[in-house]
Amino acid sequence: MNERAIEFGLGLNLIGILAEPMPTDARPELPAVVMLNAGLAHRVGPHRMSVELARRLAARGIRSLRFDIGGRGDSESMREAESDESQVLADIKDAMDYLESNHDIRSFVLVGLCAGADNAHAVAVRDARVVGAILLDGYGYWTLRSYIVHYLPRLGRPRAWLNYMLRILSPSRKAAEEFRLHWRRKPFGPRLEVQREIQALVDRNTQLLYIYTGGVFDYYNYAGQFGDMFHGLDAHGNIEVEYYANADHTYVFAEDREGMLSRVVEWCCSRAWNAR
Amino acid sequence: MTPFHFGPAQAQLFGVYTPPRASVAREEGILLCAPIGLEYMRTHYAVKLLAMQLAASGFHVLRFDYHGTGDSFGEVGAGQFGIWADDVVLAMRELVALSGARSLTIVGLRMGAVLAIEALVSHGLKIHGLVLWEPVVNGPEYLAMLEGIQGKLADQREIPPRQTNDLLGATYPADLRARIEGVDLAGQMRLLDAQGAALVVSEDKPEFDSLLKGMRYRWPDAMYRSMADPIEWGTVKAAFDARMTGPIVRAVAEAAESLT
Repeated sequence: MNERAIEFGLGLNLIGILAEPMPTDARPELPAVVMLNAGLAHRVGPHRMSVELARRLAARGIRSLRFDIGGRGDSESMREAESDESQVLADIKDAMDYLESNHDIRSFVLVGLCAGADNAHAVAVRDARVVGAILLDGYGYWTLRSYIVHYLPRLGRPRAWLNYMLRILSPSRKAAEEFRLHWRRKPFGPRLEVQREIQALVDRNTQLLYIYTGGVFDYYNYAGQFGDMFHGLDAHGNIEVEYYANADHTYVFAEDREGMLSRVVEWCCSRAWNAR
Repeated sequence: MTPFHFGPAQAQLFGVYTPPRASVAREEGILLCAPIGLEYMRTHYAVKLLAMQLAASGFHVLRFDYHGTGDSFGEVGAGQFGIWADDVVLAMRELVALSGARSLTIVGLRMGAVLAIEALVSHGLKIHGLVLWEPVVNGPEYLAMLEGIQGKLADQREIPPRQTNDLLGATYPADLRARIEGVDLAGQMRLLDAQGAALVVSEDKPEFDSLLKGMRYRWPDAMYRSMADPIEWGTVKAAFDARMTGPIVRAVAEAAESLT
């Protein structure tokens, strides 16, 4: 494994760590993995998960870049006149442009947790160089069953009824809103629009791995919810979904992190990637 | 701002050097020693802001990740406390080599203050100034606080987590915990070779009073600044707050500048 700090982007304002496998291990036919910021956390990732992922990928021959988008971590914002969303998308494009120009890498897998997953989705939709995305606690929408899973255990609790009476507004939606604000996450796009975008991605053979945790119970709370949320989506075998009910949102416990990282690395190594 | 790796080839440390603003450049360097574990993530942005403010005031500034943390090589393991203290020394030398600084001041935040003092005492090094920023003064209470947060997270699980050396996603081997339990900053003050020192805290606490007494025994004019704006370290919500900022960053920069 070889890691080095790099600077790129407008005015070299973006800072990241390029991790490359030893030459004997290298598998240049595989896409490079680009890791995005989880909310405001810097590129190391919660509990160093991006560093650990980069090193495991390098051991399996896969290159990766973990970097800070402008205004996060060590990177400065050079596009302050632009909206936050367009800055983020431009910075991620800069990262891929850097890897393409300097390392002749033309296909990418984006990895993002929370807001990072939302950004990975947005860039994947816009940039055909993205051949895969790993979305950790990505978009979620309530279904009939998720309401049942959420409310049924509460029916026998007087306190829950009291709360309901006091706040006619849906407490689940309020909790989800608080979660979103805590993680500085933008509202999810309309479900049908997101479904159309996912369909477009799988139609162009983009590989997608969704992993949800119990940490986002307020918007995703049972295995199989993905299929119910996006009923009618024709995945062509390009989507895999996991639900780790016992894990928290940032994978604070080592066993949860280990499970997620192993799954992600195996997925990266086993998918049939389109050569570019 | 220059990101780079330094140190031995197989155990490189990641650092970010921020050069001084040219118009006010001094021949003085400031090394920033970050916290460990979850507090490292929470304070990363504040440490970066501090580096930029100090560089704007003319200092050469280096911040870095200890071995097995952040973007540095390796994993946390046995003997880590001593390795981290050695990392502080390595970073001091790197800053001098990079900048040509004639004198060094160290700013240590939380466990970073503990490690900086350990480095200076164990290696018998002389520095210009030392700023202790919300330092961990009571090791057993610090560990108990982390264990308390972890316990609350474990209680939220349907299946209890396996027992490991981890606390809040970072590894704390038994010998590291033992070293943290034995923290005695006030007692170490008299062993330090520095011209001045400052203590900057978010709020007054008895533990800081004891430390300040130790500091003023060594430096009668040691600066003390309390922001009267408590930082919550011991709750689940606060522990996962991604950024620590606020006026305390400016106060630490002013304290460091006042020592030069």
